[in-house]
Amino acid sequence: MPRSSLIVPARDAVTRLGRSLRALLAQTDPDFEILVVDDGSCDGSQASVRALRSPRIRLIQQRPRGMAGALNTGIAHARGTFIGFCPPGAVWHPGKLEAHVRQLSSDPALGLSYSARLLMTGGGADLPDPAPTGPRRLNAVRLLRDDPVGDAAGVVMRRAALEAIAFRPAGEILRDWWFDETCPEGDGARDAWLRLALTSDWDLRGLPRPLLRSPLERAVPTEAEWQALCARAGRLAPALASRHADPAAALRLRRIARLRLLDGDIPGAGAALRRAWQSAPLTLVGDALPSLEMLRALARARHPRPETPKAPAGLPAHPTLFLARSALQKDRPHAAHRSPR
Amino acid sequence: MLRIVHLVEEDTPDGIARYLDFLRQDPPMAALARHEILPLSGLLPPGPLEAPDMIISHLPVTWAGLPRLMSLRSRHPRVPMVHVEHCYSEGYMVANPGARLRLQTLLRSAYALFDRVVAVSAAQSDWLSRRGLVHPGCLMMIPPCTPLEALPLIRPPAGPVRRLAALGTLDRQKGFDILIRAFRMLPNQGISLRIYGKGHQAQPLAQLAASDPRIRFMGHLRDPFEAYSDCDAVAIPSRWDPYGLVAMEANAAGRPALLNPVDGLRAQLGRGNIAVPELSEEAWSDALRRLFDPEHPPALPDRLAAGPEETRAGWNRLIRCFLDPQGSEGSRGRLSLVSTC
Repeated sequence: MPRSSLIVPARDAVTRLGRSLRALLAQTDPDFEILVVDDGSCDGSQASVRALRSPRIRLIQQRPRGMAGALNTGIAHARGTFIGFCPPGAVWHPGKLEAHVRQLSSDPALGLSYSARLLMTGGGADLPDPAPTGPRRLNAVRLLRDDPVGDAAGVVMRRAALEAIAFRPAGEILRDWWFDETCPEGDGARDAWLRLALTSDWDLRGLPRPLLRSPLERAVPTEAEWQALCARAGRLAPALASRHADPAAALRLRRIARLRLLDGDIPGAGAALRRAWQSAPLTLVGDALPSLEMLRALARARHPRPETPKAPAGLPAHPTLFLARSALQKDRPHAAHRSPR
Repeated sequence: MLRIVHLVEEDTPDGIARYLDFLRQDPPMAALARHEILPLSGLLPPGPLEAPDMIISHLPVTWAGLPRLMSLRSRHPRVPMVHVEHCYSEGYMVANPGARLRLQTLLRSAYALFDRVVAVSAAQSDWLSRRGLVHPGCLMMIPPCTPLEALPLIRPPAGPVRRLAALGTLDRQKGFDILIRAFRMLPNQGISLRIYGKGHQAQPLAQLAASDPRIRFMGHLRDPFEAYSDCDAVAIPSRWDPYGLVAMEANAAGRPALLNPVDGLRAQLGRGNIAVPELSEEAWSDALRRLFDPEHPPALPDRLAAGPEETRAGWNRLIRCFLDPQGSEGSRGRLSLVSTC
């Protein structure tokens, strides 16, 4: 019985599947299986999986049920104690599974482990994800406001924690659902994390090292996904939703602005930042530095300055820095004149 | 014969009272030991107990009640002391997130005074274990039971569900507020909801149901036989429920239970009971609509798959933990602290 099961939901993803699977096969942790759930592909994805000829890979085929449906089928077939998710296009760092397994094994109350991520743009560049990541325990408020976990890519969960969010909707006779297959435009992952935080006592914690590269377009929930998430929060925790939904919406728009800026979409970034400030200005005033940085960057992008000659080597670029450095050296005369041994 | 003293609050909830009735009235349990019930009022410790072989606490653990437990432990250092946890569970922690660390500290401190802590369901036992609240060697699981002999004599319901019952203390835990709101969303005539119990939320719940003549408050019933006789199905929308005795009793009476799959209630699924995927008015209203659908009446449950055998076996195991086979002539067959964790 493998310790971990890694689920790859795939539909017509032949161009992205190989790279993700090769990264999974290169994991340093030795004890895992890969379940590729083919969600009714017509592009030869199955053949590309079989061509890898790896005994670790199990291919499961189903009629199309969407990304959440494929993840659910994968979970139903998974044999591992820890279950990870890797949609096509996401690329795992070789040490990722090992790091998550270590974290989950050392803390029996930890139900979900995720890592920081780099976002791949269309041009191939990697951008740091603006969502904060760290070992601090996540609660529903942080999930809603900061979206630190993101979609399913790169998350590793304990099987017992998944059981805490399992449900069987009316009419379903084959298996349970863990991810809500009625969620619009997505894998239902953010909804699942929110349910885990609101209805169970499992911990959710992150690894600060970026161990995942995932596509930029899934870094922020779409509008429909966001509305569904707010509706879920409103039903499960009305008080929390009424207090945090508007600030969370503003923070989501600010994240969109930042990602667009990093991706070079200047008009899109400006529009998103404007909408963010219109929706919940009080929230953003409390944490205005990112917005000011973005405004500065937007202004620079719109009115680029002519290149200034560089300061001579050895001198600080700015007179203020020069004065500060002189003052520091006066305070620490021995440090300034210490001779190397 | 062994003498076991059970400590309970004076106004103990009906579920615990019926469990104690079972312990006293069930012939195999009565053959195992003489069970004496000692109701305690206020926060004062009980007077010196006359040489009990074992002390079982069914008291709710609170900071204010901690000195009482400490006093009990110090007065009976050589008597095995066991705590049965009827109150706290994962669902409790989720529903009361404000004082997580304080509650965990309280539970660790209180449980340290006992030789064994008994969980009432596997879900509660897993939670106590993974949160490190009880030493693994001191944790046992014994499912409770109530006197069930009369319930199978009730005639099974025939035809579609029209009469729904909800039983329990009228407080936030039982989630009757959600049930009433969900029920009121149904346009059906000819259906009824009867709520049995007393509690401090009686007034707000009555106001919530005020203008709906289909909802009736039936007051407190010490013996639930009549409640199960007068209904076709039972609703259990509990926010937390360490075991879920009502579901077990409803099944013994041949009634299906519509329940929120939390804590011990999750284990009550699979006997014909119906889980509502989400504890919200909308989801419960949908589930009630399907339950009352005259075209598709729910299947009748198995009349008690889980019976008193597990409870008897659990108590046998508990007592064997402390039996001293090597004891002196006078103490042979008595209980002592031969096995400490």
